[in-house]
Amino acid sequence: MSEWGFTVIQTNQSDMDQMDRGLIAKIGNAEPSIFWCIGCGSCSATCTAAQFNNFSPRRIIQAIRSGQVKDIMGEVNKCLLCGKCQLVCPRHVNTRNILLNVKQIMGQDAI
Amino acid sequence: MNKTIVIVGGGPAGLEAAAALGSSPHHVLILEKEHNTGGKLKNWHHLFPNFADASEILKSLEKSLPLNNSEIKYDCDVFKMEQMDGNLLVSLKSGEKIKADAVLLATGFDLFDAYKKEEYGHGIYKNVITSSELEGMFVNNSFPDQLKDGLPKKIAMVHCVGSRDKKAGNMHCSKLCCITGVKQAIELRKYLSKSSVYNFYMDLRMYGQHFEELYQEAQEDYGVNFIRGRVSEIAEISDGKLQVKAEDTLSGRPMKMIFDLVVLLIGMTPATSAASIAQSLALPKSGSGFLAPVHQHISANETCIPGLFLAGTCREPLSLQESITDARAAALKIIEWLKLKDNH
Repeated sequence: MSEWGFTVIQTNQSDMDQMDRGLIAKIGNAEPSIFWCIGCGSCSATCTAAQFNNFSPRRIIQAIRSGQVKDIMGEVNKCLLCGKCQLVCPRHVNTRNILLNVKQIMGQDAI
Repeated sequence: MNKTIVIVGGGPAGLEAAAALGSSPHHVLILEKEHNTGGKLKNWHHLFPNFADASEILKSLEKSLPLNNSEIKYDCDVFKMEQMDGNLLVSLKSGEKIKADAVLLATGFDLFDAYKKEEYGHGIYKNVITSSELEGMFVNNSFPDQLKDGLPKKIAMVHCVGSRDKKAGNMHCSKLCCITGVKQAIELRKYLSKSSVYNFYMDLRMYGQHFEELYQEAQEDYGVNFIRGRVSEIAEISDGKLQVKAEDTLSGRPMKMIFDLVVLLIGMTPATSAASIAQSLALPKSGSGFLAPVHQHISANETCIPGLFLAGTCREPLSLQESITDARAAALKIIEWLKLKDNH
């Protein structure tokens, strides 16, 4: 039999039907303001940590909401917890508490 | 029987309503708080989306005012109204009281006070101005000297200042700042041909006729840059230049950029001049504080107070075109109401 060298390429699409809803369910309960985010990016613009690494509160909120939480702890740990993100947010999203909840919930899950 | 209709406010809505009531036999009295009519339209140079001359439009609105049955009183502060035997008693600050068979509130809107967004530095840094101040510079040809030295300039337009902002207490979308920002960006590119203009936006809401086309024209013919990200803060550096911080959310990276001028696109807020009137009649307000009609869809010009009507931006943010149409609709409702009143 001939070998044609065909392989199945992994898709880059997010399969929203298969998304991991575990974290957003818990955080949505503890800090419902995560659903108010409109992705304007003012948090990431003012963020001190984001000036030095590729941390972005906006992207974290988006990642949690779309279930892309595989590497979330590494991202969340870049946060300095200064709370400036909250001060500039036009929707009153408690970004800091969202990140604290990620730490708490993911920490528990790790145990 | 001839009746008295009081119109509070001689802006575009008040003037158009008076013109529309000209064919009725009733006496129309416009109470204007300033020395002249025209309201906020006086401060416009050219209007979106077709760059129509605002002063021409104002002139034609003022010309259509019927002379036979209408009258304007200037410098009138209306502060209270009472219901009295099926009529409304209008009290002025001067102490004068006017009995009206019907009252139309056309009190308009206030511009958002940009100083409330302290992080943008209006009133602190001299080169942070509002869209209204920029429009005034076009009207009076009064641009600051440092913009006129012929050197290339960088100008930022900041969208949604005081609109869609829980912190500023305004959850509503003022809906006209988007197109104003596009219009003024084009005008700045025309006026300062070496300048580059950057509009910072969350969404661009090009809802009206030819708005989207103007937005595309800004990009294709005038090279206006659009960055999707809300400005977090502005700081003055040296020589009055301003550093603007935002996240370019489409590339996902925070950014900073130095500008010579920052224009804040301020939104509409409920008019403070209508507040005491609304309070005296216990008139309900909408969530954002604009005056609430009986029914947003089918009775947008009527209120729960018999004989009291609303027109224009006192009830929600509207464009000039929408305000004028709204004023005619309100005038028709007033004529209907007075007929009904006669039959009883």
